[in-house]
Amino acid sequence: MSTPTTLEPAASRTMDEFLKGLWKENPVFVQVLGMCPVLAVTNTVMNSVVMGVATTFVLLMSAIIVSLTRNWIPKQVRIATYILVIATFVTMADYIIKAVSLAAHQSLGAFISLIVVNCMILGRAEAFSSKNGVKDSIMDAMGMGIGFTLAIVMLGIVRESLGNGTLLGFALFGDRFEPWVIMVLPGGAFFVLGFLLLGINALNRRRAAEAT
Amino acid sequence: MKVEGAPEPPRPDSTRMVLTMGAVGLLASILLVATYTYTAPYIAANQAAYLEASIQEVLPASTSRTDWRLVGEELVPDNESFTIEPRLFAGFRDDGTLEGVAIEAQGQGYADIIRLLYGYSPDCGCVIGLKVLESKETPGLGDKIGKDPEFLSNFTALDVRLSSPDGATDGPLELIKQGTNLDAWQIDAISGATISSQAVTDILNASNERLLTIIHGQLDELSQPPQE
Repeated sequence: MSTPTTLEPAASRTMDEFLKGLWKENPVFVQVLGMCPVLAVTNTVMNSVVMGVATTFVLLMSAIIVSLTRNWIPKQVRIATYILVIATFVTMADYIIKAVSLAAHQSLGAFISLIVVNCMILGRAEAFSSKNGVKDSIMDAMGMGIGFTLAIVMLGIVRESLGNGTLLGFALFGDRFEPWVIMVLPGGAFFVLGFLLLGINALNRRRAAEAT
Repeated sequence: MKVEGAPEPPRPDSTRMVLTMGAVGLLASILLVATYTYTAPYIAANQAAYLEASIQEVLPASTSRTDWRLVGEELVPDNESFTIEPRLFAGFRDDGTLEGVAIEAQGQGYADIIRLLYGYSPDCGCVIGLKVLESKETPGLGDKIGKDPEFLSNFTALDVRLSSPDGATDGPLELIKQGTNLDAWQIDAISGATISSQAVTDILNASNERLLTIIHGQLDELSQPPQE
């Protein structure tokens, strides 16, 4: 590994906290965290978008609270406190989605409440926000949230177009297309995720080989 | 039981831990109450609009309605004191005549409970519309019960007449697979989703058996158009 010896300016370090979530430490493709929503609700693009936005909201709000209170929360009760904070924002997101669109809430069902146990969120709170300032934590949460959203929307695009022949509800292929039903079933999620991981790892390996 | 010489580990101050948890819990509950209070009217409006649209779908010619609840073996006009009693809605055409009754029904599907709303017309003794309010059936297969136009077209004039003097059919609805010549009381199943189709049939049969005699017994009351 060749690391630059000069100290990076603070601004670009903050930017790095944001960018690392998009690719280098993408929560889905690299850390492989939070697989429950990734596999369960990516059967349509709309579901993926709503889930991604809700998760990003929870991630961002809990990162702010956790990093603001990081010096006051006793170590012994930190996990319990983080879960409480996360659960509060998840319940808020649940009410807000219900108020904005009942249809979106119905198609996501219990998976909105299950954001509480998305280990990516607790993971970021414990690994990053509890040790860093508010600004860096916000950048980290935004990067991770957007990286997560992009990843599950990618799965949603592949699964909805192949499994249902539509994209955001619009028919893509005309009447003669026979939907590939396995793609909207849970099995299809594993296939698509597997192929995306394969592609991304192959790309990363090639880039690493070129760099040396 | 102290080991001699072993350093005492620093004891965490439990008062501080309890206070922290308490403070966080208090803040969390304030936030939740505020969000709930703010969103409750929007959620109620969304649910009312959804119900309104669903009734419109199963009783397409209706322009006004009266709300009823099933209490025991009797239909009574709806008011706020009812919460879990099954709901029925009488829909009226422009000229004030009864088009039909929208009935909420539910039962076990392939995955979890299926909730339905269906329109029943006392004039022809038939089901005239069906809408799936809530289901968790398998995407791509079982969830077609709510989407497949061919399946839903089974429910535009489905004969559920009671045994009547003119000798009309009085048997329950029947599910058949890939039928070509359907009788008026038969439902054509979705291929690949037989269990979900059967569940819909069973829910309708159970609900009809329980409700149709009650509806016909109180038809005069139900036919009173809303006073406005």
